[in-house]
Amino acid sequence: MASYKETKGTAIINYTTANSPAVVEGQLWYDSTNANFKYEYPAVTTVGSWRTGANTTKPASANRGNGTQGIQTAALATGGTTGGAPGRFADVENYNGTSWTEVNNLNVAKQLAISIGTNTATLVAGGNTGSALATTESWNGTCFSEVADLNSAKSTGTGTGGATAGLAVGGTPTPTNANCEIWNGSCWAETNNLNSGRYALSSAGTSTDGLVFAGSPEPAGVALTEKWNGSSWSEVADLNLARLQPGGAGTSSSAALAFGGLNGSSYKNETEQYNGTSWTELNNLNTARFAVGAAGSTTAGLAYAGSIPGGDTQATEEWNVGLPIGAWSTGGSLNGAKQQMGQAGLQNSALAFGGETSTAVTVTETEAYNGTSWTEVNDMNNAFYRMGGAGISGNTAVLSFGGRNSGNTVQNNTESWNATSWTAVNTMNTARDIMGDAGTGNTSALAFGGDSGGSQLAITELYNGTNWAEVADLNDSRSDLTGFGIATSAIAVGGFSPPNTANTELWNGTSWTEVNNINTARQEMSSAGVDSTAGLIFGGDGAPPRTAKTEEWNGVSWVEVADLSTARAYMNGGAGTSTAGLAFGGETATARTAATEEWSSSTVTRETISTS
Amino acid sequence: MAKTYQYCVAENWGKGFIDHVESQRITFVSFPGNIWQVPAYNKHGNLWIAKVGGTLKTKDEAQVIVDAVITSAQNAWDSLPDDEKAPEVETNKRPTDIILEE
Repeated sequence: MASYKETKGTAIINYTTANSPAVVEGQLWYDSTNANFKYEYPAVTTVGSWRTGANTTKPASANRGNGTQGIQTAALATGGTTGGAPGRFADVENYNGTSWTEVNNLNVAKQLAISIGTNTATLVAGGNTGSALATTESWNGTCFSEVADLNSAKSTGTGTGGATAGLAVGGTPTPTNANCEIWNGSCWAETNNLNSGRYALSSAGTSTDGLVFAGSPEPAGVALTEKWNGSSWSEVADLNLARLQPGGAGTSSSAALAFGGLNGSSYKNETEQYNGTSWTELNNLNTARFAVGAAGSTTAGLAYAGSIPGGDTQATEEWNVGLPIGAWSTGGSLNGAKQQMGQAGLQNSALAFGGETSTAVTVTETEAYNGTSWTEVNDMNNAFYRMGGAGISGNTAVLSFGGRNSGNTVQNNTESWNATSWTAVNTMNTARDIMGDAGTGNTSALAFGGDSGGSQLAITELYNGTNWAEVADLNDSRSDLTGFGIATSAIAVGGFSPPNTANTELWNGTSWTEVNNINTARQEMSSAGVDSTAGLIFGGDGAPPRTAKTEEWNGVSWVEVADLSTARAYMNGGAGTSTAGLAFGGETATARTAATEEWSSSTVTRETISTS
Repeated sequence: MAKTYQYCVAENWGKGFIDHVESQRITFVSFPGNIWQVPAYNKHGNLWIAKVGGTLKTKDEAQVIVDAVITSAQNAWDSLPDDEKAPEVETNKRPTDIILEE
């Protein structure tokens, strides 16, 4: 029999579990620690999806450039309109993957221009100021300057390529709407026309390998697609959906994305991808729109602004393929079922303290998790539940604050855990329970919101290792929220305001700012995360009363990911990170639970060879 | 009608009951009475049921088990003193019925 080396060209490598990360996809290797064979493969999404990004700064802007301007993490929005033609503007915004920033304006306010390039080198050609323009402006990363005009004025055309080699295609006025011009870095020259003249079309690719699709006539638009090979156009497969002014992204004639658009009076959110042969329908935009700005590729695209029913939008959405596929697996169960205990720590080093084991029965129990099982350790001084908990470095330095006793009286007590025992320390200024919590542990913590005994709070308090001090309030008073992060970088999520809220606020060490909401409003969920740039929320009480829903925060927006296997609420607090979270205890549809689940999100799945 | 889900009774023993790879491959949903729902006609679902020693139940059989646990919990809640049924703390709500899907 041939050896593994003879068939695969490589011998089976012997690793310990500790040094195994060097393994590659498809390679069989021997795990000498566990005495078995393993292999691994990518665990990433292969079908793209949209998630919200930061809004553009310009209120209600649309028609911000037809063509692809940059990549998902470095894009440019140029000109546009607010409220239709009278509101044309010259504003330009730069996107860095996190936020939009205003930069130097165009020389002339315009809409419906052809915009191609990157956020450091872009051409804005043609457009409309009441009539079609032939002028071209060039962006050098800092400012725009006028360069050579188009040979024919164009509005509502599209373009491919960039600032040194580009193509301007179609547009109005209609007598010349099959016209194409090619840019060589200095001037425009007429080249072969489109087969089907049109305006309101979109595009992807370069000046030598491009694709245009959709477009006029109104009102329904067309599905026609044409491929440019550097010298001529040929018709290829149609879009599945005819439309006007979709967004277009992609790097070549065989890798293009079309999204949004207008079909009659219907605003579309459909996304289609072209693979060089045909268009395939994929996940929709969250916000249906047309005249949408676009950037990026078929694996990392960007949609921004656009026209929506009744106005224009600032909404940005990011298209991604290849994201880690996270999932929950079961962990060791708590020694006793309980809800609303304090929670802190990491996935393999967490602490559960206090809680309620049955109605009005609160406990002082503390349990420590080592990644496999929970062990009872020394009790708290007070039998409370619904406390806040801080601790992101494991189960050795944790702070418990506030809570409620079995007599339903809210508390301001604070206890500090030093890996061995609990010690009472200085109390909070405001007694409360079911608050949001964050912090590194027993030397630094943040408490925000909560219930003072019938009233929702906005009060935030900061613990410095010795005392609590009031700092800036939340924008929205609420209880039953969750939070994650540290004293200088935290997130407050959801809760009961009343009613249940989806509101999210970001703490920067000084003040709270409202950011994008969670997808499902709820209260009494749990969370994981060590700063405001990445986190998870899971479970909660909303609709249905006990949910398994999990949402992931990337610093800008929330997206739904894989559910818990056991739907539950009232876990309280949370532990772990955005890629290694921990859910434990809480209440299911019928009873308190001891179940633990571990969230893992990585780009690789590693499997063990077994006979099953 | 083709089934979407299959059900089994299995007790969650903790670590390893559902591992990360299994959870990536299929969706697990737990219900009262140690009822677990996994996709029907699915190799990974079948392998997992075998691994955990799950006892297969039809949807109707599983529904009976779920109903029994919920009814018991509802009866327990109904027998609580009024002040505990509408407590200041809102966690203790009357359990609601759950309908399993085919």
